[in-house]
Amino acid sequence: MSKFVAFKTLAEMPELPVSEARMSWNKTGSWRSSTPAHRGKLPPCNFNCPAGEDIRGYLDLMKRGKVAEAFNLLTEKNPLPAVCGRVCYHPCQTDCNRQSFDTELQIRSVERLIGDWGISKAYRPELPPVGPHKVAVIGAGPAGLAAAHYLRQRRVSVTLFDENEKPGGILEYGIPSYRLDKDTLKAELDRVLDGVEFKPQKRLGRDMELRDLAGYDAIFLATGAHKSKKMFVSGEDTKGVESGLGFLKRINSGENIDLNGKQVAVVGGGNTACDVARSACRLGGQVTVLYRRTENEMPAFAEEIEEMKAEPIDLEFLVAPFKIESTGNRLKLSCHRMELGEPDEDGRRRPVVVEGNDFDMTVDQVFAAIGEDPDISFAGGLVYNADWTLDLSGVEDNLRDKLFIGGDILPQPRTVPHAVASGRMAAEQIDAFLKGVPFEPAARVTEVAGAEDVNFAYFSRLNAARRAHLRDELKSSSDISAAADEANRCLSCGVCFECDNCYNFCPDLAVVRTPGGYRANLDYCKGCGICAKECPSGTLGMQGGRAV
Amino acid sequence: MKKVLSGNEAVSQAVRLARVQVISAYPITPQTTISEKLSELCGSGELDARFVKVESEHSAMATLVGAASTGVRTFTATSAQGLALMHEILFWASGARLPIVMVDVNRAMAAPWTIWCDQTDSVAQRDTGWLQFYCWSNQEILDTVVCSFRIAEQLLIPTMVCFDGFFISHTNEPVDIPEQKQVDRFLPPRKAEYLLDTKAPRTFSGGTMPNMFMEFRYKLHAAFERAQSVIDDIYKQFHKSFDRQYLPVEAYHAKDAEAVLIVTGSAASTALHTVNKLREQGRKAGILRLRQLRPFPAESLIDHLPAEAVIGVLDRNLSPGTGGVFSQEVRAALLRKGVHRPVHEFVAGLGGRDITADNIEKMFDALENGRAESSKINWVGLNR
Repeated sequence: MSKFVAFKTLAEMPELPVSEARMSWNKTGSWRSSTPAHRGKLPPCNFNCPAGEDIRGYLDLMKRGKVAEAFNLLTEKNPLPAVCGRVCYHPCQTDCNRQSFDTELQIRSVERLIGDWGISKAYRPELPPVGPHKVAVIGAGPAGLAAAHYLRQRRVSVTLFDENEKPGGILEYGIPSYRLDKDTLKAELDRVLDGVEFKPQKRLGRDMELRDLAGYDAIFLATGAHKSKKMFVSGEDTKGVESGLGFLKRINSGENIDLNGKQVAVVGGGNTACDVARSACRLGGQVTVLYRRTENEMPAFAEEIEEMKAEPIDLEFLVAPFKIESTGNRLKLSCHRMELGEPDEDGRRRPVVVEGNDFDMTVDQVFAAIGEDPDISFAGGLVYNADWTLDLSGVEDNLRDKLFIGGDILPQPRTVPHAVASGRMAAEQIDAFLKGVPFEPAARVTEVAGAEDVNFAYFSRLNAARRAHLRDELKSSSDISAAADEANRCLSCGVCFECDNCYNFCPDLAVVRTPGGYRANLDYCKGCGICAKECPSGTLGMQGGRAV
Repeated sequence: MKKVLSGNEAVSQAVRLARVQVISAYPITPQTTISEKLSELCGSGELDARFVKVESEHSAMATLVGAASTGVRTFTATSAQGLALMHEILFWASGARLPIVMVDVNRAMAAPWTIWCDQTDSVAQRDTGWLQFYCWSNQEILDTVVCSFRIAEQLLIPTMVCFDGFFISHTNEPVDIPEQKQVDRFLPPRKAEYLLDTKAPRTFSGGTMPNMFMEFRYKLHAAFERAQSVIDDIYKQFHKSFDRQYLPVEAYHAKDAEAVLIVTGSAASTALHTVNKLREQGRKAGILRLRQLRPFPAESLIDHLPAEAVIGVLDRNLSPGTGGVFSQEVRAALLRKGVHRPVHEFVAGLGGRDITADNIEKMFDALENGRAESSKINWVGLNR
């Protein structure tokens, strides 16, 4: 008590017990035993996005009606929102904290609507002029596209080589058009490749060699994984047996294929098998998918399995072909019946032959879709080690130093967003290399905000009727306002969205607004914790002690 | 405009006319329809007020303490256990000199569980530093609520308007609802000298040392001492504007009475009816209706007391071990003025029991024939 007022008479005293002046000299913060602090947790969507998108960030911008800003923030990390909004397996939605409240946010649909908005507006951020450096990118799949795009954004002159006529790689030649229509893809790639020189029909090892690229300041190799795995089945090379990926590429290249009235067997349980089966079905084939384990072990994404099951496709589980023979016009497929044994190294139960239960099928066409391996034999000097790491010792010294490798060549999950992230990080790394500065990847936050961090009292539940139709409604919507409505459901887990709750609730006016957030005025914060308690997103927490 | 309104509806209309800015209330029978109507008025926009939903009466009153500190006009309504739950904050409101207006629809205190009327709930809050008015008609309720805002804001004393649950709250009467313009002229917006303003921050009701606490209590008491003249003045202005007169003590056939009964609330109308009947029989019965418990209208009471009459007080409340609170207050007031006359207390109508004309006639009988006790409670209507 440093300012003591003594009244001489009753009349001097105010009518009510109120201080005669400011009490700011009384630093009540000294009473504090705990202090509000940002918990520094990441929203689960951001944490799970392989492409590293700031999903929470662009949902917040969508809430505020800032579509262009949302588009910019999204495409800072992923240049392919219209593509990923259609084909990504949306791990962002898997751990959405809305799940326990009503239903997860339909983030993929929001991403698609933002991407489509960019296309419909012919939205094109301004390109910076190119600087002195030149980089060759080999392979125009998702990784190569991302690398080329982000290098160009960083003022690098980029030449993108691809063996095919069109850019896109797996997007153009692998993914069926019913999942990713060609118009959308073309429109998106036009923007992504703005300012990039595309050289089609240039295959490394056929049309050019690595050493031909010695004039570039750096080379990014992202030729992907498109060598279909062998089934190791006798008669695998019989006419009428084809790789699923080859089949998809023929369809996507515009070839007229008629499977009307044909019996088609698709071997495999991954995403390619799903695409092949559904494509064959659309071409008139009577399709049976043969998978050696059960549905639970299928490596395809659940959504793709669901969509396949909704079509007139037969699924045969615990079946493995072991022999294919030609019977004139048709094929005899001999199969084992299988059962599940002990788990193998990746935890899935191993299929084991049930002796004495073999059977034959007669089909017209077999598509093998049991997975793909990367192939770099054409690159010259690059060799895979047994563990799929690369041995670059055979590459000429002057090339090796500036050779960067990414995408599905590397042992990483083979998804579009993983490839995009690989390409983007390559661009960052190459940029640092060109500038001669060390490359320091951003530190990754590992703590994720869970449902227990969110104050659900501040959010309202969707009613059951809306909940039931939400996914389908958003999937079919073409209205950007639907994306804004959906973004409004975002809980902003662990991240401040400037709701003013801490500011309004603080009984000591000790929360101060700052650009983009708030700060506690520790001179007066008594550590009561109301700000943290009333923080809807769980951004704020209390830490023991007087200081942070 | 005249409308047939229940007592509770009269409150809501008065609050609307007073342009209250913050309302916070928690439902409790028999008050509930007041806050329901107010929430409707807020919802429809007829009343431009913030209606704050709360989880208890304690929070309702605490909310108004906060709101009133910012200089706005505030209102709440409650009954019985709800009022008791506010007890702690009632002191805060008066100590901080916040002119909150509250309606208490009188309901007996449980246990045993009851929703029916008596006045024990509000008289038990006598010492919390609130003004207390007691009404007997729906018109009086509307007018008193309107006047209470002016009284509270002028004196900086929170004000409670009380009336009997169900007997008045849920009974319809014709009520003259004044024009908004007329009320606006009578009741201008609140002007707070001290208010919570972040631009000129002050500390309110902060830690106060023994060197000053007593002085603040003295000032509060001094405000109560000048309260009657302020109230009289405001009701005089009200009379001029609205042509309806209210006095702290209203007398009926009291001047020449040989037996006078002091009454409050709805029982006054039954007493009035009874006095008419007794007068027809040539008996000199009279009544004095008290409209206030705080400030206690001692002077006015003594002015009206017929010099020779036997005095009875009807209490629809009980302070167990002592008696009726109004009787205690009347005794204290008389003694303070040096008037040494016996006061006969009648306790009746607890927990919603009817106070009938027969009951009141019995009270007059006892006063007239000298059978009423002056040293202990005269229970009326008790099934022995």
